[in-house]
Amino acid sequence: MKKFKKSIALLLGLIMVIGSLAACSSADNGSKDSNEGNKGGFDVVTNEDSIYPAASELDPYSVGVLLWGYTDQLGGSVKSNLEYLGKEFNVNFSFVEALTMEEYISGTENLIQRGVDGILSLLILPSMIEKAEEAGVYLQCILNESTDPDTLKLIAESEYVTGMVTENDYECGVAMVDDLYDRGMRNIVWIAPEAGMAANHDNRVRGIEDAIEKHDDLNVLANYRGTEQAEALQSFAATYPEMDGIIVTGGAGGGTESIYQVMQSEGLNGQAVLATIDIGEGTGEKLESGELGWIAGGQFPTTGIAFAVLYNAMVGTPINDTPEKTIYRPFMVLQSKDNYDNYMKFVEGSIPPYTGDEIKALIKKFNPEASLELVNEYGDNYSIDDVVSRHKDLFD
Amino acid sequence: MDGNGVLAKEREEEVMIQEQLIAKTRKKEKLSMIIPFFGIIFITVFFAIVTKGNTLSPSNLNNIMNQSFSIIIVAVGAVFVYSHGGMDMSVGAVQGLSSVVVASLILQGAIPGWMVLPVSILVGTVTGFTTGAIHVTIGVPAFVVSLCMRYIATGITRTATSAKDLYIPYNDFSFWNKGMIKLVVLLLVIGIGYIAFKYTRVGKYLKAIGGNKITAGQSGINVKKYTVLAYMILGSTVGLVSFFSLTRTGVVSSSTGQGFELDILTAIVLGGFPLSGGAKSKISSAILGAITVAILTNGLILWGADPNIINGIKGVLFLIIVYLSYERRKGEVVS
Repeated sequence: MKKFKKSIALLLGLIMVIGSLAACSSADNGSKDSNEGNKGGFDVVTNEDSIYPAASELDPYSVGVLLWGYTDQLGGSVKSNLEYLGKEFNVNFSFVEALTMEEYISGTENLIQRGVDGILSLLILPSMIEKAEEAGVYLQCILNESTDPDTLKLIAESEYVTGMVTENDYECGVAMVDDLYDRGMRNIVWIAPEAGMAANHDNRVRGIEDAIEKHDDLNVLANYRGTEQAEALQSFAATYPEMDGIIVTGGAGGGTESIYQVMQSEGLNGQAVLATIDIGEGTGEKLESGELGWIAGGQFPTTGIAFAVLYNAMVGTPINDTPEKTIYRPFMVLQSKDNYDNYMKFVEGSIPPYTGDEIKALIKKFNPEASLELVNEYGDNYSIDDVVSRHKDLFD
Repeated sequence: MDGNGVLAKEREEEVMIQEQLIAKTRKKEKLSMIIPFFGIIFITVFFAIVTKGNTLSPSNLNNIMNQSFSIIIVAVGAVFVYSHGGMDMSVGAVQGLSSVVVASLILQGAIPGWMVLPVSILVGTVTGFTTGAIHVTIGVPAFVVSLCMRYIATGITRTATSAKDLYIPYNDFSFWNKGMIKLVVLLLVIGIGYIAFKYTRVGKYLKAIGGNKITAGQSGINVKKYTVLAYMILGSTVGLVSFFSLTRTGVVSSSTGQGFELDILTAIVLGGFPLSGGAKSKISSAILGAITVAILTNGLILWGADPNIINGIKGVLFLIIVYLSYERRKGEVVS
């Protein structure tokens, strides 16, 4: 029994050591000096001529983040981007995973209990708003929006909901069709996850369907909604030899790679052009070969903009009077290998698409000119050329 | 020393050995009662220390109650199924289905407010009855039937939410989301479940079926009837939870209930409940397991653990807790 107790004590001790390391790694806000990509974290850009206060001069804040996860490409980039902003703004971020609605509510309760000043969350639900109100914690929706009228009413009436910032998925759907049409493709297929699985994909599909309506001579050979996307494309390739355009509404997590593989195995290279979302492995190669004509991505900087809106409220200078109205931002679109190379250097590289100073310019306390209009201006200008022109000097 | 003296001494030694064995057995029994609480006490104390008492504050205890509410209630229902050696993998999907039915009726104004809860319980009970009845009538293993039920229920939920998520008027039902109401419901369910499982023939027969189905049948127990009843009890708790979950989230989506069956299974196993069923099935095991999961998740977040390794830490801790239970029952956690 003594041996048993000893081994248990030893094991539990080990766990607690691991846990302590985990806690420390989460709480560590020190700067990194290596020049790694965003998966390893962004470098803090030291600007001695900056007109904005340094992190050390700012009051500390604590912000919780609720997202599906932080290990996939988008989730990992969001985490790195926010950790970078944490160093620039003296903000400690607590990242929590949530998949179901129940988990978003539990996560909100736990983060409030942890003592955060604000929360950035993918979902915004009535009960989360209620809890944020009770605790006096600011709540900002990121990479998503609510369309439920009752929830929007609660958001409009709330003193603590600061807004919703997301990409314009509908316009992205329209753009995919228009691009293929402009390239001369007239026989297309489109593929998306099943309806109801993800609101952003549903919005993209709405955009696709509306854009198709505009073009009378555009022939939709088939469409598929579900998880067996590669198999569906394989069937389409066998059934419709005239297929010259393929639209896939996104494939984060390896989906796009399987589409590329089917295109290769079915001999679609040179016959059909793909338009899709979510930049990943193989994107550069496929853009170069021409199989991929249009790809959208670069969503993670949106969280930096959402953070700016939240931070304004936390420091007492709110800039969003209409939090119930979604702030839409465009996707970043890549159409060539050059675009991709610039994307890897200027977006996924060592410096984030918006530096600390650029985000500080959106904070009214630091810049009296900061406003919702300026936030929208950032969005309107967002493109690979925009980032290159702003950050070219930082890489020289 | 004559022969009688030797005999007397031998008897004395025998009695001493017997007494020692009895004392040892009693000690073991006492220990077996304490060990299940060891894991939960340890993590409670640990997180209380590292979060400087934050985990034990009244508001956080309310959070833990809210977060473990659904798992505890369904775990109580699941005890009736697992104690007879059954298994139900449709719990999460049935929660989604029940929520969809109720939300649709609310949105169409088809039922008055007071009927929402009974209808939700009814949907759960009917699906539980269907699973149990197919299992005992056709003889298909319960695991397979419940998997089929899972696909059917998920399909209905996804179809109903494909156009848009179903939002109910949140404020109309927020009354049910209050901590005190939930606490009363929780205590009622635990109380009724405990009495039904320990003191009524339902619990006793189900344990007997779990111990040996053939013997139970030969002893006059209507195995089919009580098996179906077990699934109906579980279904009713799922229906109850669906209602409260709906009042908490205010919305039904295709993800409603997703993964819930695994939460229940984790709670059952963590509490040291024997999945083979039988006489050693205890309702307290399932409740302890459910509370452990909630305390651990809550504590790790309040402590500030990195999200990427929270699951790893949870996994190792679960392993240790199950190991404690395993040691206690010599392989009876899973037969």
